[in-house]
Amino acid sequence: MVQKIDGDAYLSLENVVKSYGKIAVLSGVNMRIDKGEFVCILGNTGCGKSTLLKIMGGIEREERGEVIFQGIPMPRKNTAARQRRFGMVFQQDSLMEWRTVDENVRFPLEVFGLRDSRYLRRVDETLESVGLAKFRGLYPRELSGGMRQRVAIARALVHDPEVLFLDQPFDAVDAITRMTLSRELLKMWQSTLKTIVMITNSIEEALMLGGRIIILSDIPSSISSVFEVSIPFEERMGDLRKNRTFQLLRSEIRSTLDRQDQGGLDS
Amino acid sequence: MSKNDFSIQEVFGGGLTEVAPVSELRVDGKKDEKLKKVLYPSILLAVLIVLWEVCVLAFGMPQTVLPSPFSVARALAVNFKSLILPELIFTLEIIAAGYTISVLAGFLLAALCSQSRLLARSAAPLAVMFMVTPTIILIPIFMVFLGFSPIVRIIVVVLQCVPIIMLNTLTGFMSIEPQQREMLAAHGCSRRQILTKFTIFNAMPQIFTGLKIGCVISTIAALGADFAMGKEGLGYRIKISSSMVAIDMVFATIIVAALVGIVMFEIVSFIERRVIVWKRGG
Repeated sequence: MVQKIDGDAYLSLENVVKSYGKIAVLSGVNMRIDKGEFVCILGNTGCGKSTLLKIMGGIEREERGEVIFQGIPMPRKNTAARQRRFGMVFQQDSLMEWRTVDENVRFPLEVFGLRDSRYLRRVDETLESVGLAKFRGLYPRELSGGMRQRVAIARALVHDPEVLFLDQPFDAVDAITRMTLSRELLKMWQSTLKTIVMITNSIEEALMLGGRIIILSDIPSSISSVFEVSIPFEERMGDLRKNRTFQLLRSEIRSTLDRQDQGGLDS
Repeated sequence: MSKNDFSIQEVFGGGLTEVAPVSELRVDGKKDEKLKKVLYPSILLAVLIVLWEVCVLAFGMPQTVLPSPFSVARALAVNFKSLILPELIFTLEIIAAGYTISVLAGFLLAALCSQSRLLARSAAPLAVMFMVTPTIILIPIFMVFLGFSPIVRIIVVVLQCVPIIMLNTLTGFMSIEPQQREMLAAHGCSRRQILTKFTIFNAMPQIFTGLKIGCVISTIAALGADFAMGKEGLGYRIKISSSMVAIDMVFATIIVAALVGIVMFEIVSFIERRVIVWKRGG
């Protein structure tokens, strides 16, 4: 287990507690994320990982504890000024059916009041980077699931956020598209070194993308273990299944998750 | 869902989930579909009219019981300007005034109720109560205060029409999916931004459903008021022709009354297709 404790973290959670009604979901989560890190959060279904991400991203409010971003506790009030620093992609693309691809991507700029020509250029750039420049005039219903999710990713990036939060972003797309989108995401991270926090339920995906993998225990959850993934970028882009580090970590993480599952059944 | 399933949703237009997949809207197939939509009902109508004419001739029906389509057409042509048109204009004015007021009031009430869940929950059952009450039964009460004033008829239309428009609009305003709420929260949208950039567009299909049903309801209410109050209006013309056993005139006036509702419905549908462009291809 490796957990950085020295120095000021970029984004940190301190003893975050959350429950829905009588069900305790998070029982004191501590986490520190450095600038430019790609962190994957893994856990069994229903372990509260989405809730954790929503709290980090400002959609849900923590009951106790604190989210500290760049040394300052997150303001309690949900405002455009606060959310402007984050980009979020969800399991569902949540596109607005009445807006074309282009207009969907522009949405954050409208809400955040970013009328600078720099941002207008970014609309073209992000659409280009997710390979949708040609489809900018189409409505979401004319797109495939994979394309819709690309639009959602472009929307999360257009305002140049400081942190990108991804909540199981590729769950709704087919396996091949999932692979392609993962590669593109990794490439994007490599070239921009944006801080990315991603929830996933796939060990392989977490190993391919994450520099660090955080495992959550079952609810009421806290961090059960942390794995550093020291696989170079080039190897991640290739066939990882033959990679020794990948294989070792995969079986280790799998047994960790299995043990948790067992524990959950016993109690 | 097969193409032959004909549901209320298809007539009045359902939510966004009801739209056909892109494959069904290919350009070449689209024209065909459109033509069939007009052609098939027209053929059926023509067949029914011919059948009607044949039956009247074959069974030697007296004109006072069932006039032939031909004599109905003649009655329409001869009497339209002198007897039907003035009543048509009167009823149209009632419907236009009633419908306009209903749309404005319906929107306003829906917008108001959508601001608080409590208000929406309290108001909706009352609106349903009004919706299922045939408001023409209230005419005697209003006549006590207002006599034969056309305002009575407008009130009848408004009372019948407002709840349906309000309820549909309100449903549209309130039905935001949880994922969409999260998306809006992720952007830190203000209340005003949510309303102007999201809710209004999101509610558009339901709003138009309300507007279209409103066309039908306001026509029914206005005609009903004509029947109940007499003196003027298309409904009154039907009643008076019937008492004079001018059955061909009854039919002629019924056709005009039906056309009022159909034309209104089609106008609103046309506007809907222009507004909700995202539901169709390209």
